[in-house]
Formats: sequence, C-alpha cells, structure tokens
Amino acid sequence: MTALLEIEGLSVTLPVTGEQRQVIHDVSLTIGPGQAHGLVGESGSGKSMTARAIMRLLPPGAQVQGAIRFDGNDVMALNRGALRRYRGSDVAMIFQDPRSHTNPVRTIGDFMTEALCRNRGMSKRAALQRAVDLLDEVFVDDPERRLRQYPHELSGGLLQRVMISAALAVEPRLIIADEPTTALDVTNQAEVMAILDEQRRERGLAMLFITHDLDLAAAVCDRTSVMYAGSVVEAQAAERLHESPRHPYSAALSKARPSIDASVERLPAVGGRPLSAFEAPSGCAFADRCPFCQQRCIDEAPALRELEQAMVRCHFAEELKETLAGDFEETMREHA
Amino acid sequence: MSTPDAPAVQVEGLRKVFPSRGRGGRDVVAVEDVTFDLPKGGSLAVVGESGSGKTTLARMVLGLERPTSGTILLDGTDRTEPPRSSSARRERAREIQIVFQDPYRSLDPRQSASRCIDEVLRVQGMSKAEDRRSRIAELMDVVGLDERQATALPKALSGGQRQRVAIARALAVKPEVLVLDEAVAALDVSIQAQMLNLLADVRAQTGVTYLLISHDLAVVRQVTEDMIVMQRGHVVERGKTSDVLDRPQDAYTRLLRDSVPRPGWKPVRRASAAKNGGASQSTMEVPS
Amino acid sequence: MSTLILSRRLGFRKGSAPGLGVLGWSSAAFLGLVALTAVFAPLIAPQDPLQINLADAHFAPGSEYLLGSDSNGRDILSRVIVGSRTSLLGPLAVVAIAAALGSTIAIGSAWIGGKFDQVVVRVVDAWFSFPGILLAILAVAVFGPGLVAPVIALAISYIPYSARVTRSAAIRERELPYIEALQVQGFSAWRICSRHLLPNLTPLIVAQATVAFGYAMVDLAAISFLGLGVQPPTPDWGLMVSQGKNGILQGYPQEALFAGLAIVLTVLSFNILGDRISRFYQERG
Repeated sequence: MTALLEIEGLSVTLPVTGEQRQVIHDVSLTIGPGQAHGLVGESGSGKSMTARAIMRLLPPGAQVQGAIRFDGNDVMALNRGALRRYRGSDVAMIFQDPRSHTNPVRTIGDFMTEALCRNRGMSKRAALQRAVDLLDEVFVDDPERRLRQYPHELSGGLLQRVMISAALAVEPRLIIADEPTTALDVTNQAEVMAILDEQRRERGLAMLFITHDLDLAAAVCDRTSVMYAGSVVEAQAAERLHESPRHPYSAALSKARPSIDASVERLPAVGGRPLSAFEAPSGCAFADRCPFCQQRCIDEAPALRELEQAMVRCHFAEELKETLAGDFEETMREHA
Repeated sequence: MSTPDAPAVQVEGLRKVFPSRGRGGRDVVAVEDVTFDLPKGGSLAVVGESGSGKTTLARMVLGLERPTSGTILLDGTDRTEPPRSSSARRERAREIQIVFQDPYRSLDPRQSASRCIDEVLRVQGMSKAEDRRSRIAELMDVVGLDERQATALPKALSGGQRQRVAIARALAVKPEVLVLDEAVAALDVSIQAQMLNLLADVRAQTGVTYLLISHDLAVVRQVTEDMIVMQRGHVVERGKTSDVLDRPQDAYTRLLRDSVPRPGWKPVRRASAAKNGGASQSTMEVPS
Repeated sequence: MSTLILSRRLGFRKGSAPGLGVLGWSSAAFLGLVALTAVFAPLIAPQDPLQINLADAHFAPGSEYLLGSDSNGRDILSRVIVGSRTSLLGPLAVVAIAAALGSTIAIGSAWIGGKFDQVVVRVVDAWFSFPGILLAILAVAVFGPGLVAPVIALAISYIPYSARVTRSAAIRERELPYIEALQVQGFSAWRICSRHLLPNLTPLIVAQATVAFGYAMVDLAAISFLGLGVQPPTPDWGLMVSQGKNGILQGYPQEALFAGLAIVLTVLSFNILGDRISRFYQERG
C-alpha cells in the first residue's frame, strides 16, 4: 500500500519570547488512501500543531525538521503554486470553531462557492448548484435558503455541517478534522460525526481526526495515535487501544474517563498535568507521571518501536502488557 | 433560621422569561415550571444541552438572576429574590457558592489564591489575620495546592490548579451548597479525573451539598445520586442518577445517552432515512 | 478596535511583539526626559527665560543662544525648557480629570446596566458632538484667560472619550465569571468595582489617557496660540508658536520652529506610547 500522507521524524520548534521552544518531537505517522487516522492527546500534546504542520500553516518563525510527504511529494518543498493546489484541492481542513473560520459579513453561499470558482474554475451558477447538492448530501434542510443566510443565523451544528460540505466541495483526498465537534452539544456531535464518517467512507477519503476523546476517535478511525508532550507514544488499531493499551499514558487516558454505566469510588487518575514538549523531562516524557517509572525511564528516552502490530514508545511495554490491559487501576491507586 | 430537616435547596414552579430584545422579537422562556428538592448532603445533577435552561436555573438559585415566578428556599428560608442589602448578600454567600466552568476567567488575574481567599474571609468578618492565615492553609490542604501555588498569580497556574483555587475560594465560607457549573468540562481528561476525585474527597470531608450543572452524563454518574434532565426549559425526566441512566424513560434522555461516545459506540444519524423531513434540523425534534 | 485591526494588517501578531517594542521604549524614554526637564527646568535652563534684551532680538542659533533668541531677545532654549512646565501640566490636569470622571461614569454605567446604561450612552453620544475648543473659548469668555478655565473646559469635553472606551471594556470585564464569583461571595458592588474591576481596567485607562494627553496638548497649544490660555510673558510652547509666527514672515522662524518641534515630538511620543500600551493590554487580555 502506498501512503497518501507520510510523516517521518517531524520536529517543530516555535519562537516564544526570544527562544525556540519544542512543540513537536519526532512524530511519524502514515495514512493510506481512504484510511482514517485518529490523533488523540491532551492540551500541549502537539496534535493541533501536527495538523498545522501538514497544512504548512505554522506560525512565522517555526523551524521544522523531518519530512511530510503527500502522495510522494515533499510538502515542505512545494512552491507557491503547488502549495495552493495542495491546500486548495488535495487536503481540506475542518476546524473546531466554524464561526471564527467564516467571514461574518458574507453569506454561506459566498463562502461555499468561493473555492469552487477559484480552484475549480466553475461559473458562479454552476458553483451554486453544486453547493446546493453538497448541502443536501450532509442533510441540510432547504439548502437554497441556507446559501442566502449568514453564519450567525445558523446553529453551531448546522454551521459545522456547512463546513464539512465546503471541505468536500473541492474533492480533496485527505480531510484534516481538528476537534470538529468539541464546541458542539453531545447530540449534535453524534450527528455531525455520523455525517462526516458517512461522507468520508462514501467518497473513499482519507482523514486525520484530531480529538481529545479516545472513544470518539475509536468510533470513526481505523488507527489511533496517542500523543503526549509533542511525541507519539502509541499507535495501533483504534478498537484495540481501549482493550489493550501498550503505553501507560494511553492506558491512563482511557481509564481516567468516568463511565456512563457505573460510578467508581475513585477514578484512577495519574498525578501532575499534561506537559508540552519543551517542558518534558529528557528521558521518557511521561516519566514523572508514570506509575511504573524506573531509573531507565529517567535516564534514557525510549524510541517508538513495534510490538505486536502496535507502535509504542516505552522501555517496559512487554513487561507491562498484562498490567495495562487488566489490573492497572490497582497499581495506579497504590501509586497515588 | 436554619431548620434541621429542611432541604438544602427547594425550588418550586420556577420560571424565567427573558424579554425580547428589539422590536418584533419574542420573549424567551428560559426556564419553565421547574421543581426539585435537594436534601442536605445530597447531590443533584441538572443535565441538559445548550439552551436547556440549566445555567439560568443555577443563576436563579445563586441569586444572580431574578425568577419571573416560583420560589427558591435555601435551608428553609425564602431566597427567591436576589439579595439587596450587604448583610443579606453575605448571608446568602454562606449558604451557596459556585465553581465556574472556565478556570482561566473565573479568577481575578491580579490576585493569588491566598490573597483572594483572604479577602473573602475579611468580607465575611474574620477580622484576625492569624485566623485567616490558618483557614487559608487548611483550604489549600483540602484542594491540594502547595505554598508556592497558593501565592502565585493565576497566570502562573495550570487550568487544573486554577480550578482548585476556585474550589478553595468557594469552600472558604463553609457554604451548605456548592454549585458546580460544568466545573470539570474544560479540563483535560487526566486533570478532570483528579478533580472528580477531589470533589468526592471534599464532599466526604465537609458534607457539602452538590448541585452539578452538566451536559456530561459520565461526569453526572460519577458525582451525583439524583438527576433531572432539562430540555428547552422543561424538566423532561427525573430520578436516581443510576436509574435514569440505566433505564431512561424519556426519548430525549435516551437520545442524550445514546450520543455519548464510549467503547464500541458508533455515531448514528438521527432518522437516517429521512432526507426531506425535519430530521436534519439543528434543533431536536423530540417530543417532550 | 481599530488599532487592533491596524496592527493585524501591519503583521503584528500575538506574541510576535512582546512589551512595548523599540519605538515604544524610545517614546517612553523621550517622555521621561521631557518630564525630568519640566521638573528641573530652572536648574537646566542656561538663561533666565523672562530676561528681555532687545538688543539681542532675533539672534540665529549659535554659541550665545543655542537655539537663537526671540523678538524680545530672550533665550529660546531656556523658554522651551521652562515652557515645558505649563505645556505638560495643562494636558496632565486635563487627562487626569477626564480619566477619573470618565472611568467613574463608565464603570458605574456598566455595573448598573439596563436603562441607566442606555441613558448614559445617549448622553455621552450627545456630549461628544460638542467641540472641546469651543467650550474652552466659552469658558475663557466667562472666567477670563489663563490655564485653569481652558483646562477644566477641555477636561469636560474629554470625558466622553474616556467614558466610551472604558465602558465597553468594563462591560466585557463585568461578564467574566470572576466578577460573578465575587458577587456570589457577597461582596458589595462598591468593593467589586473599586478593588477588582477598576484595577483590571487600569492598563486600558492609562493607555487611553496617554493618547488623550497628546490631543490635550495640541488643543491647549491651540488655545494658547489664540491668546486665550497662558498669558505672556509666561513661557509656553503654544504661546511661543503664536508669538513666533510674525518672525516666520520676517525670516526668523526659530521661536515658532523649536516650540512647534517640542509639541510635535512630545505629542508623537505620547501617541506611540499610548498605542503600544493598548496593544500590550490587548495581547495580555
């Protein structure tokens, strides 16, 4: 299988008050055509910055190492015209807050047809017709009327569906969805995710789905990468991640969420707070919060390595296999 | 004033109408005929999505909003009207407190935790600096902040630490009721778990009553014994949290429950087949 | 708001220009120098600014008179130095009064809200439309020329500027949960406004006052120029421009030129500094 998107050893530093700070450290991931890949992490994990790096939308002054290849082409080396084509028709992005990514004084119709007219060279009339069809496909009622409305007249859920159809309009091969439902109510989230998932499958699009919710990622993705402090600490089949996490952090993340089906006396919570890459200790980034931390974890940074169809960045992944899948809570409670 | 058997919060027939803004607008009924009892030491969740009226309900109970009709009793005393005199305000402050959702904006950026709590205690009439200092130390211990964090400005603290400060501030005057307005919703998963454990500890230690305002059913299950579900201002279902979540009776409660991602969950479009019906309206089409 | 949009256009992004920047700091340094000059003016001034020496009238800048002399043979440098006192004191009084009253009105209006706030907004809008200079001239007509009458009149006409900017910021601040938390804590409105709201708005009020300082300086200079403000022979920059204007036609521009330059540089520095402070405030908030 040839990869559609291939990220290899990506590291990014950003200038903050005069010094370069690490925000992404050695991230590698591969997305095949039509594949959905989840990127899960807490704040500061670098998941959104990874998406920005893929779109080449990093803030000025950012320094990038490593390679990002789309369809075999080096994204970092694209010239102006090629970059416009890449952003305009190869990759589409859906953001967390649709309202801040639309122009409040332009109608939905203007917004949706702009890309079609510019990138596809469509006439205004044809573009409008296409927009109507697209809105219809994401189950927006009365699309003709919606096209005449302004962003503030639409609810968050509806506006996000408009954003999805606008993203689909340019017929991209990869969709990057950055927390597309975080700002929505839970029932709207289910609806928007269902539509996004359906449209993606129908069109055979690849997707990079960025979220803080492991279960949500598992519901719509084939494979999930868990990020912590700017690095991928684990990657494996999305549905297996919950049952058999290989990294203590992924295990902690999935166990820390309370369950809708039962309450527990105490949640297994690791101490400390999620760190950004530049704050992380020099050994294993998770070392100071890990219930299983050994001297080696403090001394030596683990590499991402393969373990039974999973990629994991932990020195003791083999030894912890059973514990993480089963009795992990006990250990964490003792640790706490 | 205090009655030993009276519920901590008793709300009856509460209604709030916001008058229309501008010409031709319709009045907005935010809360319609809400009734509940919250016994002392209990914990009640008010569950709903945006526009359900849950926040308006909480604001009325707190005295930040005047009900259009209905009554609010706190510890058996009528507190329907927002307090006017300064002594009434301080009295209400000792009855009910709040922790807000947004840890970044719920603290005065110019005050450290200890200065903030010191001021609260002074306003409440604790005149001896020594007493205040020991109470602050006690509170910092309850919420798990060290001395450096207690004297740091909010901008030097993480979201979770700020939320701990907010909890300490709310507990400072030993209130009967603590309103948790989406208090863990903005936190990272690992911090959220710490905070939920802290809330359990605080309740065990102080016997405080929780009124949790939330859209997150998993958090509701973890924190509360009873819950009411609100939709567009109305209570659509009420009962023990475990009963309501295990066997939801109302269609909207079922929809809420089924929309929560969990292991093995798949998102399903409402009324998947109906392409021309009202199914894709952004607002819910659920009978209540 | 417009400065925010402008700074976006110029490519200033959040985080890319921390602090006041080079221009901001140099403006601050220059103003500090001007303020020091005003404080120690009698010590610094090389000659007596009031000493008339008609034989030395209209000397060009040179070793005897560093910036030349005016039509009465007085040392222009000394007059610029000593003149900095009234020239700075006037605008300082204007912005201090305007900022104090304007913020009080603004915070009160934002706090009470509702109908009261709407009335205040209307009144402030109407207030705006009354030209400050005209009010100052009226005041002079009633109370006679000098520094006091124009300063009070200008201060009154500057109140709506201060009130409008502060009110919108106060309304935003008022809606933050920390203010509600204080209300729930049983704090009085007075305490919340004076101990929490006002201190958090102070950077904005200072930024606004800094910019207003420049305008007030120009307005007062104009009033002096018209002969309605500070009276001769007291040295004052606006007055010096006025008295030097005849010299320009006669080929002796130095008095008007140097006094004018002092006004321009000072006002410019205040504008730059005010802009930088408000940008800093916005980035922080």
